[in-house]
Amino acid sequence: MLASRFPGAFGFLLKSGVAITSGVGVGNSDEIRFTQNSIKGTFRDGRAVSDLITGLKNGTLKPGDVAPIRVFMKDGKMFTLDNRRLYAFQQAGVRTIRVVWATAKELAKELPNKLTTENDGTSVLVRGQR
Amino acid sequence: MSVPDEAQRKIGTREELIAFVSLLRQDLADNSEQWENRTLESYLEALQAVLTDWNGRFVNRGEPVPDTPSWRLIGEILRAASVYE
Repeated sequence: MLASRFPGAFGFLLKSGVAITSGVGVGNSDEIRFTQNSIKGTFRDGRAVSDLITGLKNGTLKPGDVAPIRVFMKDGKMFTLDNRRLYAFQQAGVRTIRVVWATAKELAKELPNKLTTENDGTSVLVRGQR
Repeated sequence: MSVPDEAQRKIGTREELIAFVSLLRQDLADNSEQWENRTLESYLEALQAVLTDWNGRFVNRGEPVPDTPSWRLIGEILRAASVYE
């Protein structure tokens, strides 16, 4: 499945069991999992995640306007480091999204700080909405 | 975030945690564009979230949740708050 989505990609396996491949492609937002247990309701620049959802829903924003989300494989499942954008896509009902493989450097830097999901990444809490 | 992992791994004493916090401050000054949470408000919000969600980190690592934090764990939490979404 992955090979057909990411032609020319290659991969290797880390000690942690995380498989990394290089390449860019598309993924199904419903099949991608969250790494964090919760997310903030705003992006770094202060824009609301809800605004992105609204824009994607009403068509003022196209999925292609949004930067690809970084993904990686772990135990045969695809996870993302970009939890807020994945949440926005899922909430907006956008299934086909652009993905890019997270680099080994990005995983080494971010994954130890972000892998807090307690439900294997199947859902995420939005802080401020609890 | 460009603080070396090694600096975090070797935290074992209060003095080493102080040195690590100094590295974090320097990194914020030098590489703020790599910090997800650059303002005090956003950093504290993320710190609260990290503390709330941190049990999942141990579960995902297959490690027991410690009853009391070590100096190193405090450093890990402070660092995580810099990038937590």
